[in-house]
Parts: sequence; C-alpha cells; structure tokens
Amino acid sequence: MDGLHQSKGISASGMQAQAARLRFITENIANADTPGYRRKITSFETVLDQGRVTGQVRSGPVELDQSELARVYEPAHPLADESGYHTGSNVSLIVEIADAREAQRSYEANLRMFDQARKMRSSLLELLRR
Amino acid sequence: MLDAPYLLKMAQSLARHAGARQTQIAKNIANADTPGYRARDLVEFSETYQQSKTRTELRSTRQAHMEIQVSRPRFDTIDLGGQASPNGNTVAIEAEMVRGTDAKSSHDLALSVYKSSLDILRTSLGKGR
Repeated sequence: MDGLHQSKGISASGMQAQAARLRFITENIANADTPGYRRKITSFETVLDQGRVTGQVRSGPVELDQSELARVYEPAHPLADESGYHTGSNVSLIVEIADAREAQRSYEANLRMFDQARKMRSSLLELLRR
Repeated sequence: MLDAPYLLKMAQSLARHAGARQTQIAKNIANADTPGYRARDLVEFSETYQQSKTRTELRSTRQAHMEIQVSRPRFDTIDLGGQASPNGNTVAIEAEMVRGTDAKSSHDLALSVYKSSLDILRTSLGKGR
C-alpha cells in the first residue's frame, strides 16, 4: 500500500525534473538571438535521504554551455566590432527542439506511471467497499 | 473450500509483488535521464514466492515467548543490463512501459482472485454475495 504511494512520489519527482529541464530549454530558445547568451544545461541526479537512495530524481545545478559563441555578421548592430561581427548565442534550435521532445516524452511516461499507480491503489481500495 | 485462505494469501503476495514492481518501474522511468543510472527489475514472483514459502516462521504459544515481528518480504532486484546510452544510463522507456503494463495486469489478476475467493468464503458462510 505505501509502496504504491511511494511510487506516486517518485513519478511526481520525475515530472518535476522534466518540467525544470523543459523550462531551461524554453529559456534557451527564447534567448537564441540574445548576443553573448550561453545555453543553460542541467543534469539529473538521484535524491538521497540520509544516504539512502529513495529512487526519486531532481534536476541538478544549472551549468552554462562553455562551447564557442557564434559570430554573427551584422554591421548595423550596436555591439558589432570594426569588422562588422558581434558574438551571438551558442543555442542551436535543432538541439533544443530535440531535447524538448525528449523531455516531453519522459514527462508523459512519468505521468502514465503516476496514473497507473493511482488506478492500482483505487482498485485496492475497491476491495474495502464491499 | 479449505483452499480459500491459502489462495487469499497467495493473491495477497502477488498483489504486493506487483505493487513493489510498479514502484521499481516508476523509479526506472523517473531516472530515465539520470547519468549512470542502471535499470533494475524485481525477481520474478514465482521465484520469490517459492522462497517465502520455505521460510519457517516462529510461533509464540506462550506469553513468555518473544514476539517475532514477521517482517514484510523483501523483494530482491536485479540489474537488467542492456545497452547503455553515452551517459551510462540503461533505461529504455518503451521496455519499462511494457513492464508497467505487466505489473498492472498481475495486480488486477491478484485482486480479482482475492475478490472471488472472498466471495466463495462468504457464500460458504451463508452471507450471500
């Protein structure tokens, strides 16, 4: 009984982590044209409770992608140097969209497991109702 | 008819196993993107049940006897192995979904058996359905 309850908590932590990931992806996409913007990435880590693995997951600290920033040719831009270039962001829209898809897929999988745990629990409670 | 309590116990164990398995699958899916996480699954119910059947429990027949709390059976997990992605994660969401459906149907089966065994018991006691 409390196993299924724990299961719901685990699925919820998975959904939270995926939602955080999706938020960073949205921030990256929104800032794709911001000069000097570095894309935010996050890695997932398991949650420990007094050194014990709970099975829950959370998104770790945010890191900035240290890959090279794009050089954009735009002489009219206020940030452009003498040669007419300025630094853009290192966001690649294709990568972000693919990442967003994956986050969505994982989110849905967690949601399915949450729903399944809920159904199993309610069918268990159904036994009492007789 | 005397089989009914045995059946009830067996159905209860299966339901418990299916619940624990569901929790393990939820863990796998939640950690589907955690670097270095390895997918695990429970040992099959048939094996677990055989083991728990052979385990003898201590009976207390007098007040002075120490009371032994019969702990709930622990379900051992095994590493599923399989192809790891570049970050060392071995969870395949599709396979986990299939396992999840399996766990759900064993749970449903256990509850149905439990319910109908209970019905048989009730009928034999003359309580009707």
